[in-house]
Amino acid sequence: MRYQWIRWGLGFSLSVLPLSQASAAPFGMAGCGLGAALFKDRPGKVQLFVATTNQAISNQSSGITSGTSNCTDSLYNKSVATYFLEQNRKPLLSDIARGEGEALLGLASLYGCSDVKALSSTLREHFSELLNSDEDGWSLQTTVEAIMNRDSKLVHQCKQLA
Amino acid sequence: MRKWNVALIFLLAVFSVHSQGYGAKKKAKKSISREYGMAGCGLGSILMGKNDNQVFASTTNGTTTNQYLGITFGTLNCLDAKNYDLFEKLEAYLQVNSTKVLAEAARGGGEHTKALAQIFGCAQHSQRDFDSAMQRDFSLIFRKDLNIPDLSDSVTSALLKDEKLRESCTGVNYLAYS
Repeated sequence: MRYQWIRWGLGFSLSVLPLSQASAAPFGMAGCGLGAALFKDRPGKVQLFVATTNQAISNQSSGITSGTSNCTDSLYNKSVATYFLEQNRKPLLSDIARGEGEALLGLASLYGCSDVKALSSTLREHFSELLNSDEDGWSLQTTVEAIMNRDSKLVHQCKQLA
Repeated sequence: MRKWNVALIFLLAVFSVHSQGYGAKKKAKKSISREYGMAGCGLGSILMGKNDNQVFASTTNGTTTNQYLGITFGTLNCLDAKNYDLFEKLEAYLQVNSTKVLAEAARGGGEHTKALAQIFGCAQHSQRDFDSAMQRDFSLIFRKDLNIPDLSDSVTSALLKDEKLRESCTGVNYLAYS
């Protein structure tokens, strides 16, 4: 019983080692954990080694519980729309101001809106709200969707809004 | 008792390889959805999928080395090495460029859809087919709530569906018949 606690404790302390670096995907097929922190998403036979290391002294379990050892769900909880609004904030705002542009077209196609003009003019009416939203993609997305949802015509014509 | 468990899991992993191997002409896969989450692939991922309790999935994946066997044989929701490599490149690309791919797919192609086609190993002459598949299935591919792994699946599924691309893109072809 005593060894069980040592096992978990060691697993946990390994899981909080600051080993993660910036990389495309934080983990591969073998999942996250100490192995992923060391080898990330390297392909092929390396994933076998990652699988073994992740299971050693249950560090994957404690990593998932505490969000360490590359067990972050940033890859999982950021949506296409969030990425789009995060990366297009500036061009989108200027497109809305002048009523046309590529970012605006992208937004319209993302939400399945057939009438770009209507979308643009509705967003322009609430321009200050957009300007006042925080810099990150999430809050801009929330603001944009809230504005669109208030306009019954947009709710009707933008097929992907719901 | 433990020996029997190991044998059972081993048979499970190997048998699914063999059951895929028989039959004269294999049917092409028309879509793909990878069903593993943070705990990775393995028996646990079959039980819990990608969204349910990943700690439980992790423990189950670790039982009697079934994840190990899954990665080796490309079973239990694990991809084989070649397909895994494709998805790894795809996710890395989409994480940075999804926005540009989205804009270009909507207007029927551009630099970034060209690069994307290269990841799938598409022949140069098939670029037009690739771009039109992306444009045709736009609303299916770029659903706004998808995350990057799901987006990778939906892009790939759109290509798998297209008969011409299954032939002219090596990556799509391999995935369809493996």
